[in-house]
Amino acid sequence: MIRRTPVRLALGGLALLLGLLLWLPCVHWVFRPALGEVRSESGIPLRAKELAARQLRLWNDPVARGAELARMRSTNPEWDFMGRTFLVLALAEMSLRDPALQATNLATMDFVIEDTLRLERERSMHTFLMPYSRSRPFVRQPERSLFIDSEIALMLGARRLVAEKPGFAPLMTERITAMAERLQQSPALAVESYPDECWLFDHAMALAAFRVADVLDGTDHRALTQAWLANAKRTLIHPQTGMLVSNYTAKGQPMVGPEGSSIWVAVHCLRLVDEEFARDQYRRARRELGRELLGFGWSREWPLSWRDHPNVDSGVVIPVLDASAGGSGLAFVAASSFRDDDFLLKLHTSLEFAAFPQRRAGEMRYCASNQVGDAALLYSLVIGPMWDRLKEGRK
Amino acid sequence: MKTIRWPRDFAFNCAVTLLVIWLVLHALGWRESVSVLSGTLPAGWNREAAAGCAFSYLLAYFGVVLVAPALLLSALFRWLIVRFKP
Repeated sequence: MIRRTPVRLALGGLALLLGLLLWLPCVHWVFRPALGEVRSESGIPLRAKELAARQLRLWNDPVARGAELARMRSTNPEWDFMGRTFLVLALAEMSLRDPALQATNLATMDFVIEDTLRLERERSMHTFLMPYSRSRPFVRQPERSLFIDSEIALMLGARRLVAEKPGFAPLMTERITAMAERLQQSPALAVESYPDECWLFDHAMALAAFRVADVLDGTDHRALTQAWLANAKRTLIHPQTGMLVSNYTAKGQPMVGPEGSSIWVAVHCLRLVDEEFARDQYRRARRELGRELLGFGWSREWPLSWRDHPNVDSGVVIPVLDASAGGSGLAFVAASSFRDDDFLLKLHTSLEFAAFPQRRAGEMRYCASNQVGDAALLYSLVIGPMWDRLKEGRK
Repeated sequence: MKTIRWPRDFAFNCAVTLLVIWLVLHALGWRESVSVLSGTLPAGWNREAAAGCAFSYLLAYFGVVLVAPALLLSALFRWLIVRFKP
């Protein structure tokens, strides 16, 4: 018996090893969705309908909405704001895909936008910024945040692209004008989102908003956009990766390197103004940040050539795999925008595997996510008609 | 009538144990606690409890999804070896 124990153990270990070798490469097939479930050139994937149903219910139920937003705001008030932006963009895309949804979607879009403007008016822009926005004065006075201005302008523009609404045009023009003036007056073409802190994400959003304004209102921000792009290619490129850095000072000095939580949405926005440059940045981000293993895909927050500590933007970073919750969530937007179906399917496989989808009464949410995460995922599922129209210059 | 005997294979029993643990945690509603992965606390939970429950739930879930099927396969291999050994 004593002599047989090592043999039994060895046999058991060998059998387990064989089991793992056979099973692990197959796991992804259990969770991998069909491409039509996650990206469609026309119509709305079922998953998007279910995610949207839950988002619409949240925005039409003050108690549920208050609880959900409070949970996010206790960690980061920016998420409340970005959740609004992604939702409005998603509802606009859905309305263009299916005009039957317009009435419901427009009502929610208007409510979200008006509620956002009201909160900004009553509590100041700081209500959507992290507390360090008050830690010191903005370099440029009077203080404004490009984070706030760019996303509000884009929300207003998306709404107006679906259907014009009296009163929204001047509100959008005011934001566009303010952003353009500040960009023109900055020698480094850098506008603050936080005191002496300028973000690629927000500048890319601003360029997208300029494009919407040009299409809707016949303005022309091409020269300013080209100047920003030329300056960015000259001064904001990370030497080791060739990718745009995430943030920089008001004088245009890079503060950090590239980050997944910035670059994925930035390249999606930059598609509207410089497709070739955006695609090159996407390829670099895919190479430096995109990771795949056994049919699963995810994003790192930082490339191998530099790294920071996990923070509110990166979200939880899973050790060994280096999977960043923030970076991976936003990688869906870029993969969908650039129609990178292989990476998109691998990202969705990971999502089904590790984000714990919960479906109830025609609604869906991911337990491991929150409102802003679900809204970004929803947006990634329906990206298409609005961006295509903007690229073509069609209203 | 022939009685069905519970397999005495260690790997098989481990797989069943993992499944039972996960089912218990799932029934307790600990799935909600994994929202800590997004930096958001589930409604009505404190940070420490949510983190502890999320860690336990994730461990149990990955045990069921990644390890239990491999254990079942290994139990099958062992049974085949014993059954057909010369």
